[in-house]
Amino acid sequence: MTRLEERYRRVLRLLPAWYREVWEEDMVATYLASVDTSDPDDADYAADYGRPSWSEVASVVALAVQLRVGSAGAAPRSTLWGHAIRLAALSAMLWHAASSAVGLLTGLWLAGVIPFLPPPPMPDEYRLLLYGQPWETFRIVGGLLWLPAYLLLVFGLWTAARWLTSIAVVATTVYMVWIERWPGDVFTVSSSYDRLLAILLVAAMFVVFHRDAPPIPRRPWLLALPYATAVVIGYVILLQAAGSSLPPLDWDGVLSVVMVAAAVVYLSARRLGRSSDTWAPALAILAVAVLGMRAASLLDFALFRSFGWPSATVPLGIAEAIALSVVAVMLILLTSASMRRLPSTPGVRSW
Amino acid sequence: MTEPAFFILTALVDEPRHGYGIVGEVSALSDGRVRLKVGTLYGALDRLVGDGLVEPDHDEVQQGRLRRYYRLTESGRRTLAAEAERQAANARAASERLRNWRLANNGGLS
Repeated sequence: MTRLEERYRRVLRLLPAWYREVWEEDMVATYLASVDTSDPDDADYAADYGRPSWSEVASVVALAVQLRVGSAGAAPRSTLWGHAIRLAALSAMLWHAASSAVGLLTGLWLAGVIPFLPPPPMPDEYRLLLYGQPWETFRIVGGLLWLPAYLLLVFGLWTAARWLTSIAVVATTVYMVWIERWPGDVFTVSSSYDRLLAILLVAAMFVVFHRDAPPIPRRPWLLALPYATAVVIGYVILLQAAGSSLPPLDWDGVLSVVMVAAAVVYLSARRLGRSSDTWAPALAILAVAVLGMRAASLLDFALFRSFGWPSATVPLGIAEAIALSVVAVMLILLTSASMRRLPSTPGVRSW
Repeated sequence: MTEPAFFILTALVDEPRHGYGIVGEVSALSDGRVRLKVGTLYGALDRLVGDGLVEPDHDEVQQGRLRRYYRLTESGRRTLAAEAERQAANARAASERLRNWRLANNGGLS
């Protein structure tokens, strides 16, 4: 075996074992034939020092990802993972869309265009700070695009949804990097973690909403949007009513409570035999993501400052983190049991 | 049907081919525009075999390596014919519209 063949086989290890069993020898033969040259010196050099090109490696990586997230021909276990990641991504998009809807409504209210709801008195300098600065365009665009992106996703226009989500993430990231330059502003653990989750969400949008994925059931996901928006509006009203003395429950606290409540509802329904296996891995992914968010903001409180939240936010946040950890462990155990029951190979091929 | 899958099926119409043979034939059919990478080829082949459009034909040993040849199934031939007809109908519709537009705008001079 030449060094080149060794290197190519190493790349092929990215593919699932069952797939390699069927295709590896054929893939190696085709690859080596494709790099073969008529000049014996060149062929010897390539055999000893050649490496698979980046485009060849990328094609194998793309195939490995497709096979692991349930595209056609994938194993039932991979199909379940693909479905779970789609549900988790949709749920994350729903939350962003609800926040986006509230941002839109708030903007319309402040602009005085909502009938029978006069805008609150706002000093001109505050209005200028909110809407008059060029970098605020990035914040506004980044915040509002989630709503159309979610609707496009639910209506099956996945390519447009992917690109709108990407633009929203880039715009918000540009804004965050920009304001970080202001004196007194810091790039917190929360904001870094938030960007990481946003990038993972965009990656998931590109990978799991593939042509073999089943269509999204529109009705429940459209109905979920006003409910999620109501939760966000309810919390915004609570913050407004609290005035300068903020309540102990911060934004990540709200998300933690929603996450724990969703997990409890699912686990209860499962005990009664009224829920499927599919939601367990999706909720496990979401619980781990929200736990990371909660831990990041608690770390920020310890490292930087309280950001205006009362001291009770910290013990409450720790309680939320414990509750999230408990549900995350339960969901991971359930997921692991569900996955073990499913075959990790797609069945016997025809040869 | 994706473009690689369409060209792979087309490459197998006249005779069974091995992986590298398919890569070369697809490149020739598309005037060098579609150059299949190995991961892309086998992703598409696995799907086509799974759908019953392509099947293994025979194996040959060449320079100590096993080469597997693939052939089009009857179902693959029918599917390709339907896809080719669909694409041809699309192309006819677009050409017809363009011809009418040229006639309306400059008397068909361009």
